Amino acid sequence: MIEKGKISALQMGLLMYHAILATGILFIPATVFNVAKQDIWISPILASPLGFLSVYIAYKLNKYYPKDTIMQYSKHILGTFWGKMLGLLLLLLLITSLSVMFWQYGEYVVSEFLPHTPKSVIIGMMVILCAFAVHGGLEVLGRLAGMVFPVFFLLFLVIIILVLPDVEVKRMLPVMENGLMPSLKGAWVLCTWFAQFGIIYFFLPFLTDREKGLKFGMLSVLVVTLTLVVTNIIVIWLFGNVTENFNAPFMSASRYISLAEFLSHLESIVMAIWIAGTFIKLCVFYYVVVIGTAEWLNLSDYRSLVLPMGFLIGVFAMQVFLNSAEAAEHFRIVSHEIMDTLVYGLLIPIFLLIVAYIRKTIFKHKVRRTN
Amino acid sequence: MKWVYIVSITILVILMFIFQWPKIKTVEKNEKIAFITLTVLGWAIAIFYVIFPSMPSPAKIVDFTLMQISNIFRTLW
Amino acid sequence: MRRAIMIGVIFMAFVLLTGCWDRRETNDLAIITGVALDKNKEGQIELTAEIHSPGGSGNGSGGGEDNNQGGVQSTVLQIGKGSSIPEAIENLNEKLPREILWSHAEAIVISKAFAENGISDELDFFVRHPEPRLRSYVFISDGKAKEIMALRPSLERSVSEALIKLAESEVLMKATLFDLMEMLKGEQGAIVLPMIDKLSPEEGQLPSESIAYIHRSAVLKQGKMIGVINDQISRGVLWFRNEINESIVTVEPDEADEIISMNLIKGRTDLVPEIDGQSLKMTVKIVTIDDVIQNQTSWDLKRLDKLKALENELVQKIEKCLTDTLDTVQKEMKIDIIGFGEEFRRHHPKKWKKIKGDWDEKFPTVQVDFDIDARVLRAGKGSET
Repeated sequence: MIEKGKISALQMGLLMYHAILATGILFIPATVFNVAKQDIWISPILASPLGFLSVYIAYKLNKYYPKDTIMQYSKHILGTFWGKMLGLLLLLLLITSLSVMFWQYGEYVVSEFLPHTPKSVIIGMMVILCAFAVHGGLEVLGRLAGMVFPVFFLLFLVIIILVLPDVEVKRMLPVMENGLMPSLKGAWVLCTWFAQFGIIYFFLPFLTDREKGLKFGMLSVLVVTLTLVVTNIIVIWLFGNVTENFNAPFMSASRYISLAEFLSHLESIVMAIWIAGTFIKLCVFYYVVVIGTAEWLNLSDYRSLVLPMGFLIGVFAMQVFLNSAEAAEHFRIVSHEIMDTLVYGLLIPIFLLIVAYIRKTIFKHKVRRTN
Repeated sequence: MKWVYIVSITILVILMFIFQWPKIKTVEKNEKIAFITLTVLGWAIAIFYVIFPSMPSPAKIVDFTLMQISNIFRTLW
Repeated sequence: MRRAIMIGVIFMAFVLLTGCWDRRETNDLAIITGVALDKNKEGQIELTAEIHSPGGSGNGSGGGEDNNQGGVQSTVLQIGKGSSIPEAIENLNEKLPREILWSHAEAIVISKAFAENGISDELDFFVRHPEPRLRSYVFISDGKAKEIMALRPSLERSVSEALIKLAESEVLMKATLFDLMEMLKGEQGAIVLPMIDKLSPEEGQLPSESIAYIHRSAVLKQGKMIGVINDQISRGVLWFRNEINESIVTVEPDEADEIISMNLIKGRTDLVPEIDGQSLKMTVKIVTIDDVIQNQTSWDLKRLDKLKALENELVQKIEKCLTDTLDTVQKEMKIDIIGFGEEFRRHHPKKWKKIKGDWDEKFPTVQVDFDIDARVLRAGKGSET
């Protein structure tokens, strides 16, 4: 086993919560609003089954091969060559995905808060910070998530409560003006986020209490769904039709807060929770990429790969989009046409599960365990 | 201007090397190979992007490939 | 060796943590408290910024309409010109030694001439820029907007502050940047904004010592100003939009010659739309609670029947105000600033889609019923003569 540390199922759930929600909480309302209009709060509910499915499939695969991550059991299931090829594809998708996430982080910080700071510095700092966390191993990540989550959740609630005096429920009406279709389209956009739950297959083998893995995985999907529903409802109550004018409606909502004339300009709170959450998200994917590469190369330790991998991803992140039009095109593709997250989060695991099922039950083929 | 970037990237890579190399145990041969390969790869790509700044990034290549595949499926549909 | 490295790292942190590229110190900033937008004869945009002046030390640094007469002056004015707002700001930036901070620009005054040419494109700047706040109040000025900015109010430190206070007092119309955006995005793109008039200066006063006040409201359609409504009609519009918060209603009962004034404690309006085939109906349900503040009549308001009669008078008064409003808004101006379309959409989304296209023709035909419930809670002590 390459990872010697263990985390609890709860910590895994928290890690996944941040991995999904950190970017989602800011960008989901506006992205979904483009198609779902005032029904954006229905979309997360409609999209959540996909999250449950991803977790369930990862759990099923883990039941077949309790000690392996996807990199190892893909070899057992498909044979060494095809398993390696699949692993390579997976790594490629994860690395590009991660570089896009770093870019998104850098772009947002630059455009909203530090317009004169070079993006390379912002991304570089984050890469170094994440590299330290990933270098510490899975246990460190688990504890970080446990530390960040209460703060994240508390501040989230504070913002919601402070926004309440300005909301108007009737902005939500009429519910389902154009039937269910707009919210279904919104749900399709949300699949990008929910499919990311698939990467739970990298964490399930390292749990101390494996039997609770499914429970906390599912719980994590549920809490993410609830958080998204609450965020979307608040945004639509507060901004109504105007939502589409904002990149990050939740950030604008915090800017809009003004209580008793002195409690205003709270965007720094949202920025703080967002950076903390994004940090966990980036660490999770960074860790997944590093440990995936190490397993793919059959190494016995992954720590030596952390820095060079971080450098590579930093370079990709700097280069990923040359201008905002290219970025918009990319996000249009991944959210409306075909999603890379859907491929690595759901399609590949489903494919593996089907093959494994056929090998295990129909052919009664005893798959040789190498571990 | 470009050589400034190239030099600073090289210095960064060397610093990374100095920091990480002593920490890899001498018995781990594969690790050393993987580390050197990745570092050199990262350095080469960084230099490449500095010299050709308008080269597409892997994210765009993946997008393109996925779009092609989905188009094939769509025509088959 | 280790210790030396640690010390080195700590010292490096001292150097690196001093700040970053986006460091902004308060004494490097020009804090804008209010903005006025004008169009000059050449069609250029004139952006007048009211800038907070720290401590009065940087007194009179600006050109423009700078007036130093009125004692310690806490703001200075500076004008930027350009064909678009960003250009005007750039021009402004050239004239200012400090970096502009927008986040405290809480009053935006737009001149009538500007508004008549359309404001939606220009507003885009204020929406897109991360600094200006959605809570900034927007006003239309009757004359030149920069003349409003040049006023020196006696109670507040600056015009913008006075304007903000005026809007917050909620006596008449108020509109924030966010309200404006929402109205623009609404079904009709019909907008009502408070209009600032200048009181003509009294004898012996300097022109700049007069005060700005809100008396009328400007009506805009698709971002272009098309008309003005007076304070009574504005109040009626507020009733329809359930935004009424402060109002003094004076009734003059027929049998008593004198007047009774009441202060509005609470007013709530619900619009209940009905679509019956081709005919559209809107029931306006109003619940209002008032207190008597002045009674000049001989009515003894402690008696139940008189109180009932008074409540009746109040209902009639409000209904009169609302029908007057309807006459102007619905029959004359034919513009849906009272949110009927939005209510039809919310309650009858399917049928709304059919009538949405020709709402402009349909709107004047909407039949309006009133269902007003007025209660007088406290009659006050008063003399019972």
